[in-house]
Amino acid sequence: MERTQQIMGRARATFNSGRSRPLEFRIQQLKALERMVQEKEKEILAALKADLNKCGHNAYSQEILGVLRELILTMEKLPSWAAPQPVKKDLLSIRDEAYISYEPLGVVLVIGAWNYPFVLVMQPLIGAIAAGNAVVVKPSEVSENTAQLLAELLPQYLDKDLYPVVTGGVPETTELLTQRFDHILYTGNTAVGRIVMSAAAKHLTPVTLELGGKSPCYIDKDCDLAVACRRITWGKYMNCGQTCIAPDYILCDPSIQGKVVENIKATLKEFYGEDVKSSPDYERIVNKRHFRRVKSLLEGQKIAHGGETDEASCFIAPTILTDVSPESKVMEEEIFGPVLPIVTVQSLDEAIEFINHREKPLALYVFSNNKQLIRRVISETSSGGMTANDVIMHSVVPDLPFGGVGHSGMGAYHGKFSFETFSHRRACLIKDLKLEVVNKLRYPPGSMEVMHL
Amino acid sequence: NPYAGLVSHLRASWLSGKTRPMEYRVAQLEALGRFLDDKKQEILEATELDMGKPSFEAFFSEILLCKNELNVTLNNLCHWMKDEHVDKNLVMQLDSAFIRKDPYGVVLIIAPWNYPIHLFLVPLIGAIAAGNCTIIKPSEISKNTERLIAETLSCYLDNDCFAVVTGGVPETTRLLENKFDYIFFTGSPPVGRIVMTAAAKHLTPVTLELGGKNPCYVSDTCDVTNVARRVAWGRFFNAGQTCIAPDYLLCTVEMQEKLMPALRAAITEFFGPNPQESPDFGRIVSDKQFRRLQALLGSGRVAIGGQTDEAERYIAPTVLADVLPSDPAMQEEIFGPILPIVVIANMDEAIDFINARPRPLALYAFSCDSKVVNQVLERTSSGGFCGNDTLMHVTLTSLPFGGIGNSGLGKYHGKFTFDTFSHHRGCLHRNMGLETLNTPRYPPYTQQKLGLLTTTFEVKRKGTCTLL
Repeated sequence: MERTQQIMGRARATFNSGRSRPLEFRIQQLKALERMVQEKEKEILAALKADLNKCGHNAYSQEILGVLRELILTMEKLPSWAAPQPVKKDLLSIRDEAYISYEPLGVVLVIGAWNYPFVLVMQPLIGAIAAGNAVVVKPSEVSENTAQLLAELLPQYLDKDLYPVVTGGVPETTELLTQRFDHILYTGNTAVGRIVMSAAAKHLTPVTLELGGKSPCYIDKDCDLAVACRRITWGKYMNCGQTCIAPDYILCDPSIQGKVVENIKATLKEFYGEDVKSSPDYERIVNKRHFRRVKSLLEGQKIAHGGETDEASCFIAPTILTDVSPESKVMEEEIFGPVLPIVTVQSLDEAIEFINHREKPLALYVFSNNKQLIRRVISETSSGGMTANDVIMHSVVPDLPFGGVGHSGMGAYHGKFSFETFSHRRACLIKDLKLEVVNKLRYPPGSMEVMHL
Repeated sequence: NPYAGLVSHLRASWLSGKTRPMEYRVAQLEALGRFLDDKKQEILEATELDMGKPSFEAFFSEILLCKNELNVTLNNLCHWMKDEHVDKNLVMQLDSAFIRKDPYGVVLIIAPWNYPIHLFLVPLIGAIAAGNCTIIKPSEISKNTERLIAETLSCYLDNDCFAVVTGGVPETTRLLENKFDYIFFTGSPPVGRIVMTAAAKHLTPVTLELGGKNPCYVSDTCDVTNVARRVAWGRFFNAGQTCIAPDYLLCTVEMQEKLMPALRAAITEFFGPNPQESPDFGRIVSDKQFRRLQALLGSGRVAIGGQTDEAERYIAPTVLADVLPSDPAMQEEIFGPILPIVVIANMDEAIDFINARPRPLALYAFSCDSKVVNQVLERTSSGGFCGNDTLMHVTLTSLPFGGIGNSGLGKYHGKFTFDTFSHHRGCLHRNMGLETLNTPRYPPYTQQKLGLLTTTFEVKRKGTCTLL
């Protein structure tokens, strides 16, 4: 499509002109983004409500707060992140200048997802701008109100040539992916992740893929169940379960399964009241297609709590399934909905084996009072990231890299890691043109004795 | 799938956890060191048979530089493996937040023929240090070295965890059908694309060390003798078969004239009046490469060298003058002992010339005026950069080595190799108590809760006063 070519051409020409490189320019753009978030807070919250029925509190705390935090952190640290980094020299380079120079990659592509449609575009965008790149932004068409809003707002606040927004669905994204980018950051599912990487391979474009998977949550017998279940309930049912790092399923001993259910039930009542459907704090499934998908996972399962659905409003009640079979459909794909299966295991060994025989998840959770046990779980499993004795929270520590491994993704971002993801670390060695005497050792005609010096 | 058995054998070893303890990794790395010591003579002989690699060069690149990397790794492994603790905000003061370095699992290293030991061994050092199992695929083109690696490496490394696969394109294609947890490839951009496409099917992360045409700008203010030596050394090392060799020179017509006698002098100083007789000058690795290079000799005019001997696959250290951008020598990475000089009017034109072309793996600029060197550095983009010398930036283990754009993605050497082969896992270990601190995040939501949440999670601009 011609329009894509034009957008790319303009972005690249503007990048080549050097406009996006000076630190002052980058900080000015980030400040503009900060103004945008502050001035248009109402519009952003309204879009999130329209797309996901996100209540103001959740929308603000999950999306806006994080973005503001990232902006402040980035603006403050950018000068130190972008400064050339001197490196340790050896004997031969003692009189040279040796350092790593952080340089922009060029024109990068950020593809957002629909579940946290604002922050999942903004956070990568912040890092890409901070690193001095031109950025093409492609918000998810599934969260269409937020996509529309971003398409309207970004050009109002940011440089129009450097940071274009491209809206549309699969055909538009496919077209975009035929273009040559200098980095692509994609948030979404594993299947599309493969497509993005294959397209990137044609141009040798590096990629950061933030994908998903089934994030396990192991509950040890030795733990404060009430606290554990409250934390798990919060992370599982926020955004109606549509969170890439939500605890997907629980692994626990059969002897505590009943208590786990009781505790979660009690917490749900505490959070959403007797009638969940009328709680202003409980979201909805994003669309009918996902509603039907999640609903179908309930077939043939033992529903210990919840299970009510209403297609008209895409409502699925917070649901708990017990004695779930590892071979059932609900244990095959990432649930991405308010359905929490409990799979019983006889021991920690069994739990670890269970986890390790599946694809590496984006997040991993373990609840226990036993520090040794926690250490074992961390050491004997692999995951993008993990939290012990809570859920979700590792993703809000600014200095921790956020990313997947294996099928849950590659690369990482957040904070400094975003800046590094979108930068090229160029090795620089500047020598003196004189002082040839040292070099004579390496020139032919050589002798082995000289070599051993 | 002929390699499925091998890969699942390694995967089973990986799942057993045996490659993870530091003692195991150190033992394997030390064994690699013994391999280099014990097989030094065989390595020198094999690389000489493969491409006439002079012993001096082979010792430097295949033994010395490898041992440096080994020692840097052994000296620092304990430190690199440690969890990296990070800053926490107020609510997490009693928690532990750290980055854990996890091995990926079973990784694949594909190496090229030009530095056939170095280019599998240095990545392997990082792969082992990071706790992975590894399949090594050396190049079939350097067939003597391939045989040496296939026959002897297994005597040093744990065969349950490390394996060598030999063969050519068909074998590599079949190998790439398997799922690996990381692929490290050194070679040409077209094959890099094939590797990345294969990796995409399994969502395998990759490092691609590719190539391109590395420009070398020589300004009018420079010490001509030293420039000539440093450029000649970089260009003719390994008979030009070096991914970071200065591929072509950019300078004014006056500088071209000044450089010519200096280059001639440097070549004679290095290789004597007849380089074909010097033990310090290499040969071209194959007939195919030899013929390819021979065809490039028609570009511009041969100012120095130009002689060839097909029987020996010898191409003399050659300098081509007045080469045009449209000439054959300027259409592909040369990878041979031929140095084209392209005349430009000034530094700005040189920079425009460089920027109009794909970003190279290395970029060189020579000038006595440091401002000129800095200008070239700042106004261009490349994997790495060396001012006033060639090749040397890759010998410093504290500098990352890698490309950008067509010249590659990812980086290694020193700690960067360890980091390449590790998954950096964000970990938070929270306290089960202090549950009241979590109240603001739980429904039912109130304005007060939001206020509390904002206060505790906000990053305050420096300069504002906060009581908390």
